[in-house]
Amino acid sequence: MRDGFDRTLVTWLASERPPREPDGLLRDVLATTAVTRRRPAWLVWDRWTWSASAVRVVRVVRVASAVALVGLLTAILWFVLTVVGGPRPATPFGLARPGFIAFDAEEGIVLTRADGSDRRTLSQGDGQAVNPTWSRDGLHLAYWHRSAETRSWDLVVVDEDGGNPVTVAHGLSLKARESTLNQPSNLSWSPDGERIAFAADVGDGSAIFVAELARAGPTLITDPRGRGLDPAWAPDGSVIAYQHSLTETLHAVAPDGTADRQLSDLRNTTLWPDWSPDGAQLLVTARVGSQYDIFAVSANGSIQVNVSDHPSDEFSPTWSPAGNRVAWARIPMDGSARAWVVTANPDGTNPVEIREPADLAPPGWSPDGTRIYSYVQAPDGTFQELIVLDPVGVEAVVRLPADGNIGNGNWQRRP
Amino acid sequence: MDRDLVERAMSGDHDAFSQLARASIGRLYGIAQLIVRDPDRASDATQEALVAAWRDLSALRDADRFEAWLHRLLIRACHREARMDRRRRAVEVHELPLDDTAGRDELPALHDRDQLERAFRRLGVEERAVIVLHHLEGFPLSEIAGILGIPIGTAKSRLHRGIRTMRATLDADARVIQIDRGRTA
Repeated sequence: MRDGFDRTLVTWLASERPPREPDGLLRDVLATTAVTRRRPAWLVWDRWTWSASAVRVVRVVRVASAVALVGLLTAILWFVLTVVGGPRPATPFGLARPGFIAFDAEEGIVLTRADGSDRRTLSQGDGQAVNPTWSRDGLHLAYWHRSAETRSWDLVVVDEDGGNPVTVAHGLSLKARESTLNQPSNLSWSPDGERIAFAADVGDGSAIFVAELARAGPTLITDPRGRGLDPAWAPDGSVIAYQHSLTETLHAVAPDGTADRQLSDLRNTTLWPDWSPDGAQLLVTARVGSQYDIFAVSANGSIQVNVSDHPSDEFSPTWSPAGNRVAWARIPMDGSARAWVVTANPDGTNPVEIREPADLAPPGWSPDGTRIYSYVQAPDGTFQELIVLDPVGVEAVVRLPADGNIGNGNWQRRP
Repeated sequence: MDRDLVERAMSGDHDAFSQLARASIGRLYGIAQLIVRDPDRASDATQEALVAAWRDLSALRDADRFEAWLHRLLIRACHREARMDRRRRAVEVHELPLDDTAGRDELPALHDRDQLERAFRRLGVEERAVIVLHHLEGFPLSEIAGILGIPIGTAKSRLHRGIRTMRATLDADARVIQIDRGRTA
C-alpha cells in the first residue's frame, strides 16, 4: 500500500528522470567496449560473491568475522585487565602505600587492613601456619605450614589474594628457634621477589637456604657447622646477612653461597639483623656484658655504634621504610611489662618510648612510615591483640584482636 | 532481455552486446541521474557500468540475471561517482537552476519539487538507490537485495530510513514556511 507521500515521491521521481540518455553516450560506450579486453571469469569478484548462495556465504563470513573480532577484543581486554592492569609490584624499598597486615593466630594466617576492615583468614588445609611474610613487591605472601600429622614445616607461597599456593620447600625444622620461640626460621625475600632466604636444620647444625619460586627445592648456601640463623637479604640483593650462632657474630654470604665472611667483629649478636633501606648499614641486637643493646653496623662492618645505649635490655630493631627512624623493643627495668616499643633516630637520638605492653618481637612499620604495630600482652601472658600505633605518640590507633597467641605481623607494600 | 543476445555477448559477441547496451542505456542513465543528481556524473556512471559489464560478462553465471547484474554494476558506479563528487564539492559550488519561466500559479508545485529535491539530496547513495529501484523501477525488495548483494532486512531498513529522512526534512521545511508566513502576515 502506497500512501500519499509515496505517490508524490513516485510522481516526482518519474518527472525527474531524463527521457533518454545524452547524445553520443551510447557511441562512447560502444567505442570503449570495442577496445576493452574481457577479463577472465575467475578474476571477477562478482562471480564468487554475487549469488544467493554466495550472499549466504558472505553473511556467514561476516558473522564469523564479527565473532572473531569480539573474541579478539575480549582477549585484548582480558590482557589489559590481567597483565597490564593487574597487580603492580611495589618498589622493594623506601616509602610505599600500606596494603594488608598479615599475622599468625590460632585460626591461621590473618589478613586485615589496619582499620580492621576486609579481614580474612588463609588456611592451607589443617595444621598450623605461622610467620607470614610479604614479598618486597607486595605481590606474594610466604609462610610456614605444618599439618597435624607431621612435625616438619613446609614453606608455602601464595598470591596476594591468597590463591595459587606453591610449596617451595618441604619437610624442614629449626630446633634453635622452635625450642625457644615455637616457630621455625624467619623469612627474608630477595629484593626482586623471586627468592626467599631462611634457616633450617641440617644434621646437628643449621644453615641458610635460598628457595626460588620458579624452581623446586631450596639451595643450601652456608656451612651447617656455623649454625646459621636469621637471614636478612640486603637491599641490593648482593649479600645475605645472617647470625653465625657458632661464633655469635654477624656474617654475610652471597646468595649463591660464595664469599661467606664475618661481617663485623661485634660479638654476642643475636636475633634478626635488619638492613637500612639504602643498604648502608644494619641494625642488630648484641649482648654487652649481661645487657642487650641495639647496634648499627655499617655494611662493610667497619663502624659499630650502640644506638640504644640504655640500661634496659633492648631487642629486635627495625628500620622505618624511609630510613629516618628506627624502632625496637625495650624491657622495662621495673618489670611492669614484657616490653615497650621505642622509636628513635637511626643514631639513637630523639627516642620516644611507647609504653604499651608489647612483645619482644620486632615492632613493624607501615610501608608509608606513619604507623607502627606490635602485640599486646594479655594478663595470661599471651598476645591476643595486634595494636597499631602512632610512632610519635602513645595512643593506640586500632586494636586487632584474634584468638590464640598472635605474632609475626608483616605489612604489605603497595605501589 | 533477450537471453540469446546475452549468451552471445557472454561468449564475446560485441554486436550482441551493442544491442543489449542500446536497449538498456536510457533506463540506466535515468536511474543514474536520479541517484547522483548530476548529468555528467550520471553519464560517467552509465558508461562505467556498461564497460564493466562488457569486460566482466564472461563471469555471469546465469544469463537471465543479466539485467539485475547490470543494475548492480550501475549502483556500484554511482557510489564511486558520488564519492568523487563529495571530494569535488569542496572546491565547487553547485547552484540549482532556477526556472525563470515558471509563472506565479506554478509556484506551489515548483516549491514542492524544490523541497523534494532538497530532501532527496539529504539521502546517501544507498538510500537513493533503494528508493529509485523500488519506487520507480518497481523492483521488489527481495530483488533489490539480490541486486545489491545485501540481506533483505538491510534493503528494507535502507528504504524506510530514506523515506523517514525525506519526511522529516519536508516536515521541517513546512514548519519553517509556517513561521515565515506568520512573520509576513
